[in-house]
Amino acid sequence: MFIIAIGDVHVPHRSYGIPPEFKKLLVPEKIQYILCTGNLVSKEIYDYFKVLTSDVHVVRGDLDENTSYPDTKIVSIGQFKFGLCHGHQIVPWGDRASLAALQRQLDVDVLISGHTHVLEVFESNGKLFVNPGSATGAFSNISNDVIPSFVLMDVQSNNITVYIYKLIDGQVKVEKIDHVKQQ
Amino acid sequence: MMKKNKPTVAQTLSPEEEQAKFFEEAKNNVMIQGHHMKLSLDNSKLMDALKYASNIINELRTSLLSPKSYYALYLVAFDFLQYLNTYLYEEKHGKKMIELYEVVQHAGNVLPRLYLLITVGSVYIKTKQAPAKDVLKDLIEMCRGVQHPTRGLFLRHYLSEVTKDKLPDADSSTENGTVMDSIDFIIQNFTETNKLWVRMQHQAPTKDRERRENERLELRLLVGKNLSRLAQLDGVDQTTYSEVVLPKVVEQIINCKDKIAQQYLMEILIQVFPDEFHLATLDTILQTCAQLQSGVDVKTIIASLIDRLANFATRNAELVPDNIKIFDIFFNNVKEIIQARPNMELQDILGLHVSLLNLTLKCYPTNKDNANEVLGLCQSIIVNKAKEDINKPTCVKQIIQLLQIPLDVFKNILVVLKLSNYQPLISCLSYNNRKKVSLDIVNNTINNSTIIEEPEAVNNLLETIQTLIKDEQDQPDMDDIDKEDFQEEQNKVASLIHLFDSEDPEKLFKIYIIARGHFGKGGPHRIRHTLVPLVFCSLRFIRNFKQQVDSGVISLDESKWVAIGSKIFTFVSETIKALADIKLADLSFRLYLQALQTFDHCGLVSRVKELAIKALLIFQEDIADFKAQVMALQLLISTLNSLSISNEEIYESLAAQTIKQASRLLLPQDQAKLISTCSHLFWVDNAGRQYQNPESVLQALKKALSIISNESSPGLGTFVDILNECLFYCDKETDAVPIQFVSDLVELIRTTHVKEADPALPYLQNTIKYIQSQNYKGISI
Repeated sequence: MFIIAIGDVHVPHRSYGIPPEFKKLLVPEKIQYILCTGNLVSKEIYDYFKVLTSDVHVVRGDLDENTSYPDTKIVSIGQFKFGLCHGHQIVPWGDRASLAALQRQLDVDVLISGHTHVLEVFESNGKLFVNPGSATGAFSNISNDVIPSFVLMDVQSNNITVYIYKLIDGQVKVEKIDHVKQQ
Repeated sequence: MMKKNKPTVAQTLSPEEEQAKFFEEAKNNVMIQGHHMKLSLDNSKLMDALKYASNIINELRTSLLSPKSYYALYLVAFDFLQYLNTYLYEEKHGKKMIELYEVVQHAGNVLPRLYLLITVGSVYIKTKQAPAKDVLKDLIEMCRGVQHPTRGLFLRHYLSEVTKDKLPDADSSTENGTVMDSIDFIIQNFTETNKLWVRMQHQAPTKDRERRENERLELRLLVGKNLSRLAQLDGVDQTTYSEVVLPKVVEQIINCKDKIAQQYLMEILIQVFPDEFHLATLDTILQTCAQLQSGVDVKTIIASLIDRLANFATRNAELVPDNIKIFDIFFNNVKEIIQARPNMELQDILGLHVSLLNLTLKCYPTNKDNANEVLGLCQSIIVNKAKEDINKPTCVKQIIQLLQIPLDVFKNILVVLKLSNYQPLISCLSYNNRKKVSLDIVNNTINNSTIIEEPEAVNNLLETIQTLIKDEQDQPDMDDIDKEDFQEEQNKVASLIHLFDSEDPEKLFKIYIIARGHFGKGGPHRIRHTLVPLVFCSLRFIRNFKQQVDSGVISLDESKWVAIGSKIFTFVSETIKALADIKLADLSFRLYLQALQTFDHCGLVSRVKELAIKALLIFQEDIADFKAQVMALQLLISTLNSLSISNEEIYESLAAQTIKQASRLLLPQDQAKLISTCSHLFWVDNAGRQYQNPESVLQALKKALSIISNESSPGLGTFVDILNECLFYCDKETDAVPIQFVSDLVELIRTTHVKEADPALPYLQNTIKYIQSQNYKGISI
């Protein structure tokens, strides 16, 4: 099952659109779920995600005005429970210990968060933590030199293959990381 | 000769049935006579055969048949005459052509006489027993004898058909005739045929006019074929065409003053002759169009000619002589034609403009002046037309096409904006259409990722799309506007700002000021969308600028840096204030926090303080909803925690105010949660700053615990939150939270606050497992 983790798009606040190089890869037939960390900001981005798949889950970023997006969300897919949160609520921003606390609170196997615009995938205490970064490489006060990125997860029984996509100088670079669910 | 049966008409037959009856009768007669003719030929009885042939043609003397039925009858007769023709040519009947020629002239009636003469004459030519030119001349003169329109048309068609392969051409010897003789022959036939065709119109009473027009149209090929014949002559080269053929053809077209003929013949003329010929005689053709009757659809003729020549020129650029300025010729002639025809429909006028625009962009893709001229002409015409005419859907569609084509072809708004007549043409449209075109421009810029670097161009662009940017007099009420569409449009416009960019910081900032000037006029419904990107762009601007100063790319002394920082601060804070003034409290609060971070990063501490104060003011006065308060305060805490600010006084004052606000929140559990989060205000350990006050950390956690403990029925969740905060400090080995405190808290939770089926139970269990896995020294859980 293919899951796209994506967020911090910031259209139109900080960008005019998701890079065409990414749009070419985001093909409707190949995606089952979209887990979005928030800060879309416009409805147009949400509508675009809905075209790719009907299973779109969005949590509210600090600049999203849509009150129907929740602060956190838990989605069960296959053998995994995914937790979704924008991450501006975490203090300090991006801190691994604080993220771990959120993982404990949501009781999930994988925690997806954003806000820092820094692409990160790591394991801690047997759990997987994913930050897909900013899909548009949007300006951030927290990080310099933001690169457009998103993450694709292929869930097969108790195994997730994580593909991270980065857009560097007009070229899409892909890396792969494997994660196995701890018992 | 066979006696002809008088046709009997029953009173009850419909006109169609009548026609069918007449046709069947005539056809039967032809078949019978034809059969006899063939038998005679088989028996070499030539004279008898000629008599039977004569009888066949007698059926063609009928006045009872409609043109369509006559055509059908003619075709049957034609086949038999072909048979005779073949016989005369192939069989050794012994008679000399000149004898036969004499014989057939004795046929009783004109029509059989002429058909037979033509038949024999063609064999005469083919057997080379007489010079072609002489026979042709003879035949065409004699055809004058039939002045009845329908019968004459078909007779002349027979003449043309039968002589088509016997016309002297480029390769013929001069005694036989030259191509000029053939040209004369065909043109004469064409002229007379056309005259007969036009005369058909006037034969009918006015009430049958439409039926007559349809009948004429069914026979148009009989006239048009003559032009095809001319085109088929090898000897008709470009010079002959321009000097001899075209002038004569055009003369007949103009002089006949019949709109059906003119419409059809112009189209056929363009179709049958090659494009190179048309290129060479373009002026003549167009000037002919100017002189056509007012009912003729000149637009279709010219548009199809433009399309043909545009395609030709694109595929065969080398065949277009330099001195033929296709666009100029078309443009000037079309201009005159439009002026000469004041009753021309606006949609046709616009159709011509679209064709002209496509022409120039296809043939001269880099020439913007031509395109601009077309737009200018259009605008000058429209300006004199009534609004109701301009707003008809067909007209609007074409005006919008004129505006869209340059966008599609150039794919670069900067090029399109250089067309001085572009914007004036937009202003001729109604509100919704101006908006549509403006949106097309925005989408075009975004889809092509066109970067706009010059302040002047930015100004130009925003002026051109002003219908989207500010209120205009003729705009509908806000109530009548679809809110979602409006939002989507404004978001698109807002996105544009990210395409304004320059390597030169001065220019870039100037661009932002220009954009601010335009967007600022948009009113509350628009600025809530369009000013936000400006804030972020200017924050990014100053961060980048600072980086360039720090790395030495830009050399600047301290005072200049502060001055620039000041300028940008003013820009940012006034822009955010504009949003605060229209009561967008949540948004402006967040924007102040973002600005705060930026100015902190740039080391402009006094600005940090100012922005924090503004943020706190909005928080206290304008954020009333208690859930919104919690979210806003949470953001303030995490923002302060992220700062590099070195001025402890300012920081501690802000931290204190933050805690105060946390303790004033409506719900105790929110107070507790947020105060425990405030503990992080006293433990800052990031790349830009180290600030640690362990006592204050513990104090905050204790206070949070006390608040939640005093609640009558507190939820488990808040306790576990506080517990996890404690673990944060333990894990980082801060010594801020004694491990015993953790142990006591776990005890407190387990004994007092664990309820079955509490949603926070898994949270607690996970936390306890975590504590156990950490093996903290001194406790055992």
